[in-house]
Amino acid sequence: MKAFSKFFIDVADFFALGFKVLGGIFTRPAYISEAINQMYLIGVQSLPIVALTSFFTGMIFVLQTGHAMAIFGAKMYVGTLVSLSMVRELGPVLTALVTAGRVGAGIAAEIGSMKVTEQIDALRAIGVNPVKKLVGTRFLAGIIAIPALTVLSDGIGILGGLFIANSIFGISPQFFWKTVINALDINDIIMGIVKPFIFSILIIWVACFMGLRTRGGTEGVGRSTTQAVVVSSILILVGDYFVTQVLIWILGM
Amino acid sequence: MIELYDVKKSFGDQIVLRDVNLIIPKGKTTVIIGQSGCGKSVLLRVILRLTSLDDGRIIINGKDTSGYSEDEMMPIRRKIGMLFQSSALFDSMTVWENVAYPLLEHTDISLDEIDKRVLDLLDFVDMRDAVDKLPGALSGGMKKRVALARALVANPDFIFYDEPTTGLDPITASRINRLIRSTQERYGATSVVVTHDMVSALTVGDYFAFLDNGVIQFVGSQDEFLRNDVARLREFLKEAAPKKFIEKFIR
Repeated sequence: MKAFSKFFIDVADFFALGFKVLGGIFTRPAYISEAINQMYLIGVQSLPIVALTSFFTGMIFVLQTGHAMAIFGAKMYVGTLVSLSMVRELGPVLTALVTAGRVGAGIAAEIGSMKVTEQIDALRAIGVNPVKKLVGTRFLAGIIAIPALTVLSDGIGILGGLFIANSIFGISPQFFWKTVINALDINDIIMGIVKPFIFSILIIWVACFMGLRTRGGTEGVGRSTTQAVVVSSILILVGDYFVTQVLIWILGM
Repeated sequence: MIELYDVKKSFGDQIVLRDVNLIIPKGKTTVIIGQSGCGKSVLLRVILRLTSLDDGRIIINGKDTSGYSEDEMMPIRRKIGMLFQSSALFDSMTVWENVAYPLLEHTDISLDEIDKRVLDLLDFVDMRDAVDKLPGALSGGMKKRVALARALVANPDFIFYDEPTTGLDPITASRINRLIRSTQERYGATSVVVTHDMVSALTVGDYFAFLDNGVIQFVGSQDEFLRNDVARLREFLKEAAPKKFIEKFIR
């Protein structure tokens, strides 16, 4: 019973943090340079690992499906499959999981250490709102950087697919590219942008929440970091299903 | 002046501040002493409202802040410089940035003027050589000195010291004590020092308050403090400092 009520208090605090961030967005100071700095940390610095992950995913995807599709004589259309899957599913989810691990853990650890070393209290004592200064700026950076990363990830994954389609299945790049473009319509693009936008909010929200509620020294920081990654990964995977379902209704796909 | 009336604070079942009544006079150094874990630091945090207040009234410069929200406390906090026990320097910023931060955040003063004020304060605490260092490269005593410069930079009306000498060697501790004294003389701010270090307390204090069992058991001048007849305080004094040391302060 105690654990049960504690869970609800946590959920309430989680939403309270969200409202505080929303309330802070429209008041001064705006901390623009801090947000740009965070965009660099979240976006640019995550690019290599996101690129690596999606390039290999595209490669494996074509390698696996190419052989299977060859059975039905549809090997030529592997480009259609890889572009739809990358843009609608794999790009958003993989990028979100990788950034949850890299960025989410980083944010939870950084804010968590600031909490246990009284730096958050020092900010408050100086008269600075830590939610606005630390959480607001990361939200702003995340909702711009993570969707941008996702778009790049989609492209790089498709390039990985192209590489295998050409070198192993002998599909010409021109033809592959044509199947990729023909497969996509506006609804796929919308889905591919809406998802990372929602995932980015989840990742930053969970990471900042876990960071701010850190207690109990360095051990607590470790716990918060782990929880941030676990909770946001679960929310991404479960949320992906519901977001997809809702988008299919709305877009009438 | 800070006035506390019937201030209460508990964490769960644990009562930390039972009923605190205390007046902290303007322009003087008030030392709050008590055992570790008696709630001295909580008292400072409650005045700043870094920790919420359960019940009672806190009046700062004539303003009753008891019902203030986090946003309403912000301008009050800017008038109070806080030296945290762990120094709490921002470890991603250099010494200069740490000290300049309150001014950069809240004022439109030109960078030249900020620089002048920061360097002036770093001179005062004798840390000018470390201006470009990160806090990670500093010792505990050095961090305290930088944190003191940061607490002073916005010209606060009040300065709170949370266990300023805890964890420092005796030589560094006495240096910090001298700094607290000269801060008082130079800036004339109202200081509140929370400590269980009797040497520190007697060196820096004008007024003394003894917090025990969640209640202020004694308030008075140094003379009254050393000649007090509160049993718990006499016991504390006996254990906390050598008799000879205390006799030195009795005129």
